[in-house]
Amino acid sequence: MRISLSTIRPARLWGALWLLIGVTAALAPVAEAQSVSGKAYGAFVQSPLGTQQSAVAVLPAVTADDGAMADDAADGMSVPGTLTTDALTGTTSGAIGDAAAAQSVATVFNVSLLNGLITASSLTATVSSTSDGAQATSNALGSTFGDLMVNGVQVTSGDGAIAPNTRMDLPGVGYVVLNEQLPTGDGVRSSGLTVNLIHVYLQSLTGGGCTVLGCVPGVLTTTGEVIVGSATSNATM
Amino acid sequence: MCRQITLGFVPGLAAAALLAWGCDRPATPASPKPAFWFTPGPQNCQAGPRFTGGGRIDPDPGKATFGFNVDARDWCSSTNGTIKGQLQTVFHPTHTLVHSLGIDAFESFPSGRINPKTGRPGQCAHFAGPARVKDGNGPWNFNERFEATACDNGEPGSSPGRGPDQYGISLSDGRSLPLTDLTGGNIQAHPTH
Repeated sequence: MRISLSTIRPARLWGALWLLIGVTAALAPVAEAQSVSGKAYGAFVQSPLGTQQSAVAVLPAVTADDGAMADDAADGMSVPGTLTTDALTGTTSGAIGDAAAAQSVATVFNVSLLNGLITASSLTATVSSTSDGAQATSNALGSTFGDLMVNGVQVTSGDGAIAPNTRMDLPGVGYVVLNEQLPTGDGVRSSGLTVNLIHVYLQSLTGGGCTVLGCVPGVLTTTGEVIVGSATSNATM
Repeated sequence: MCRQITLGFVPGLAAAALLAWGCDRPATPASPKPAFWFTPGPQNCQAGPRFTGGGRIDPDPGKATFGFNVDARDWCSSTNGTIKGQLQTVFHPTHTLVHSLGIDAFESFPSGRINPKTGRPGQCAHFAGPARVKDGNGPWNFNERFEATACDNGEPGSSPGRGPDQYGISLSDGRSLPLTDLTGGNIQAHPTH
């Protein structure tokens, strides 16, 4: 079979053209879109019995040169044996203009966790993120715990702040992280932060036991979690 | 002509100093207007038409958290424009929840503070509308109005300590919180879009 030069050359030309387009596209810088996002909620409970969440606000998609807000509220929340609260609220707002900015707030009143193992008169989670394309920052200033008691220990008296990511063991239950902070972003164009004021990791001992051959230690396994007072914000420019 | 008046958020209880703005034009039952009222148009939008914010203030006494988004581009560019947006504020001592049902008046003006980043005055928004309000787990009162003032005086909106951004709100029932430095969160003005 013979293929003429007039057939081969256009095919090669097209192939080279597509290769050039592909290489150019691959080398071109990826333009990250301007964006803001936010979420706030009063409480979240996940256990083998199921999942419950209250006062959840999620920021709708925000286009360039626009803004939005979302909020939710509940009179209270009760998960027997796990959590009771009075009023809960979640609020998140954000906009894109000369800068991208998002901020979220969650509040919860009169919290009792695990039959009084952890109590607080109020929780306030506040986060904000901004980016102008040259610098991006987030902070959780204003996040405080009112009269927090953990396992009989008074942690705050009145409205007080706690160092980020403070861990306390809860014997027989697991552990709690107070003022849990989870940052994201590069600090230049994007920045984000989640603050979970009370994050309980429920754990149980599984496996292990003794036989005539000896004893094998059990393994602590996380079986659920409870988060009270959570706020998240992200901004990218 | 407008005047500045001082009220209390929880009269007799909190005795908070208040900051509200009122105009001499009275509201009429048939067409309730906010205590202040401005004609739509660019003359009342010197500091821009769009603001968002959220965070916390700690007036003495009390504590409040809030979030809002107000977009008055239509209002600021024509004589019969409308305003988009919403607001929520929680006054903690009495578990009072304020939720806007609309925004029907807006103005923006330069702040009395200098934004250290720009070297120019910050930007303030003053907006109002109908609201539903409830105290604790009580019933909603749908016959309230709110007036809020929010100022973007720099970034970040809340530094360790207080400010530079500010927020305050008053209700038509006389309760109010003064314009107060943020202790958390941020107010963001979007003046050029």
